[in-house]
Amino acid sequence: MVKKEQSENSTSMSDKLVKSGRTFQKHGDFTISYLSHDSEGQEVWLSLLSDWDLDAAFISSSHPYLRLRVDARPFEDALDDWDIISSKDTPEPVPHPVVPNVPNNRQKPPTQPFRRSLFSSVQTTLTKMTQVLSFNDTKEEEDEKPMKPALSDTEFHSFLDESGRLIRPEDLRLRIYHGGVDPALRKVVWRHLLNVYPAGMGGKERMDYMKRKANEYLKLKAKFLAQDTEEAQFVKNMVKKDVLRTDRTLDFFAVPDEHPNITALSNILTTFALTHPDVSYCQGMSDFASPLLVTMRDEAQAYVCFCALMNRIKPNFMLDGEAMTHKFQHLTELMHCVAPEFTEYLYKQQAEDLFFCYRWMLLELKREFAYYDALRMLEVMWSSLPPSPPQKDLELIDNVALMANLSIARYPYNEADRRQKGRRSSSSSNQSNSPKSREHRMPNRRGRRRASSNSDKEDGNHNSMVDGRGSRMPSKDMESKSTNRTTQQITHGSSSSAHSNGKSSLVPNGPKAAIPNGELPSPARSPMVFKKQLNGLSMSSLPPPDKFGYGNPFMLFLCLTILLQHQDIIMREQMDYNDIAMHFDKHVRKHNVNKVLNKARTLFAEYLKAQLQKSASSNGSGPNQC
Amino acid sequence: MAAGPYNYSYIFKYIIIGDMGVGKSCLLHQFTEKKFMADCPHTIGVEFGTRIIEVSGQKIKLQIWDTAGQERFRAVTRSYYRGAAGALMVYDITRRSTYNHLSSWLTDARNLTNPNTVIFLIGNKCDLEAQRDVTYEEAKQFADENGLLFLEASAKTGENVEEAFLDTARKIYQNIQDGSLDLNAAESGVQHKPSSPRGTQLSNDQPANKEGCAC
Repeated sequence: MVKKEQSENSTSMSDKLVKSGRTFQKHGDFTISYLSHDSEGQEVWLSLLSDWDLDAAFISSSHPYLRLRVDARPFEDALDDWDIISSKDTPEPVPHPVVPNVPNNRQKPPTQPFRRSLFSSVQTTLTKMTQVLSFNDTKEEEDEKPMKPALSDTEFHSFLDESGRLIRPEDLRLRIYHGGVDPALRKVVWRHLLNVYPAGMGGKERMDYMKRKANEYLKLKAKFLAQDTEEAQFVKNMVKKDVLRTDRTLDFFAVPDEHPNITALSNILTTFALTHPDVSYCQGMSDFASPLLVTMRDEAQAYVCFCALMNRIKPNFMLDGEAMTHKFQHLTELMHCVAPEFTEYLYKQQAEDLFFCYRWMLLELKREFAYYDALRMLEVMWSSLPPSPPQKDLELIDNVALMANLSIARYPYNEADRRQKGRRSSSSSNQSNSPKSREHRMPNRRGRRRASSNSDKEDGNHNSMVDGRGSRMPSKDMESKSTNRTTQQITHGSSSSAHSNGKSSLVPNGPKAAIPNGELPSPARSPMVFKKQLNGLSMSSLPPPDKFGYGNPFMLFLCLTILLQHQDIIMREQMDYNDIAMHFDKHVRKHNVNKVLNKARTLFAEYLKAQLQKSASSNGSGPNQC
Repeated sequence: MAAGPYNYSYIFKYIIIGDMGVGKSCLLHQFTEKKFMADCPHTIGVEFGTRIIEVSGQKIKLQIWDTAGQERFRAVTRSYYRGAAGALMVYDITRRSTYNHLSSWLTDARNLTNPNTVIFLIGNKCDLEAQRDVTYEEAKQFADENGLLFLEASAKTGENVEEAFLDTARKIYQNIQDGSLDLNAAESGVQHKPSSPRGTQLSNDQPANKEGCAC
């Protein structure tokens, strides 16, 4: 553990060390301690956390000179698992001297004015909803400070009963929604947020459960990574390419290519792809797996968390593109509602498709913030979702897809190769052999406006949505493909995926939380809805929280916030489509997380309030205008 | 584009396409930063680079759209072809499958851009001669048959990277000079292909008065 020892008697140097110690201690990367003597004259290393400590260090120095020690915590040393087994595990909280502003850890359980999570409140009763909305009063907008300090260890214990059972999962989420989680606690708390544990488990049960799941993973990994089929090889190569360029600037991954940390990420993704052939591996998954591995510091546990996360997020990566299409639709509607003038401007620039938000929505904004800011944003976003624990055990393998031999991994491979044949020498004849829709479908830029008057055709919105494709894809084949799109959407899976066996993978499979009713998001909100119809759209007429954003409405409000924060400069400088896209590209990993979260929370509260009013007025009055 | 003084007379939009992992982002990075970045994060959707170059005494801003390569993102990346004056189509000389997929990339490039879009074929990773899986000759033949410009390049060493981007610009500029690329049509959005309403975003309002040629 001892990385280096320093002998030091220069005060100025020590000052620097104390400062750097403070800085790094916050991130948990290393600690500085000094050699002293205890009451029995034994040598003892004590933490050096403040100037006061430094004074003490000089006074009690065990040598003629001061000895300092810097301890780093490498990955390998942190592999041991831990969880909070009971609320009595750590009855005496140690005050954290590094951050002076942390409120008294012994405070009573947080007395938020609300008792339920945001969603369930909306879905259940109005009174509770009203309570939820009281946080709307806080003046947090544009504030760069976090709304609340991060959830502390002691505070977390207040959500556990004697046996360590999580007793108030909704309250825990609300608390985290407002302040995030202390980084040191993430390893434990994230598993709750990610819905890893079945409901009602005590601390000891959770430990056993995680051990069991970890073993299950190790067996799966051994079995599937040993596969040497063409398909497995294809997946392995794809994954390898991407893990070698995932968050490599982060200390954890800034290691040689063969380092265990890199291998662990690769193993997680490869095992998942091979055990979930209907979604396999898709670029972007490594962005989700990376924070889990970095936080869990254990491959098997990270895999379990990844499976839990993918339960919800998998539709983003499905071939049909259904989820992403809905998210774009909903973001457009939200923009119409909140920023009609800006939206009008985007229309003029033919940028209303918001495609420059693609990465934001696919990766749930993970890349839009600096790494550790992204972790904060992610946990806040996860906590905006209702708890959705697995019924029994979290599934680590998709047996249905495996049994049905539903592999899509081989398609891009074989199909493209097949397509290749017979067209090597003639580019003009290529069109007759267009690729099947093995990719995410996206609404066409122009199609939206063209087909917009089909208000009675709501059910066919995907159809008409892609009809517009013809305007930019002159190939006749493409057009005919487009008109068949709806059919294909339903049928193309029959050759490659699960629709025929009751698994209905077009519908987000599994995540009851995301789509509580287990049904597709309402197709009524067609992307073709005419601009004029959208103008004057009110918050209350937006889809309800369980449908909005395909089950993750807060993510939309994060996107909205970022768009609004750049509205002025975009309009002032009269940016066109290209300029806008490039403008946002420059801000990758640079958005201010607290500012964005604060503003997004305010906007989200307005939306929830409007939704509440809608349900209140559902007996009588019509929709409100915003 | 915003009104105001420019230090360039033209903007050319490029798009870089090709299978995942062929080195699209690395080529872009090498061209804009003159550095090789081995662990360039994989592109999701689209990312950008710009650099101002000079062709025949004219300053030209290259606005380069670097797209995601995975097949699954094709429908998304297709939306970024609009109005590209140049398309750099990249394969990896050490992986034949990336070469085999060129036809489908070419189909997209032809269908989604205007007929005058200059398509440049780049065989990347030519520093890895020992692992070569696609010969220069067959790629050259493919390029010739399809009317593409072609070079083998290395984003790692920088070999031919500059040339590929600049040659594309020269060809586009030549098309403007000989009238085969109708700027007005591009600007008015009345091109017979609908993919390029604003086309090659060209603006002549600020003619540069540079002497000499960087070529």
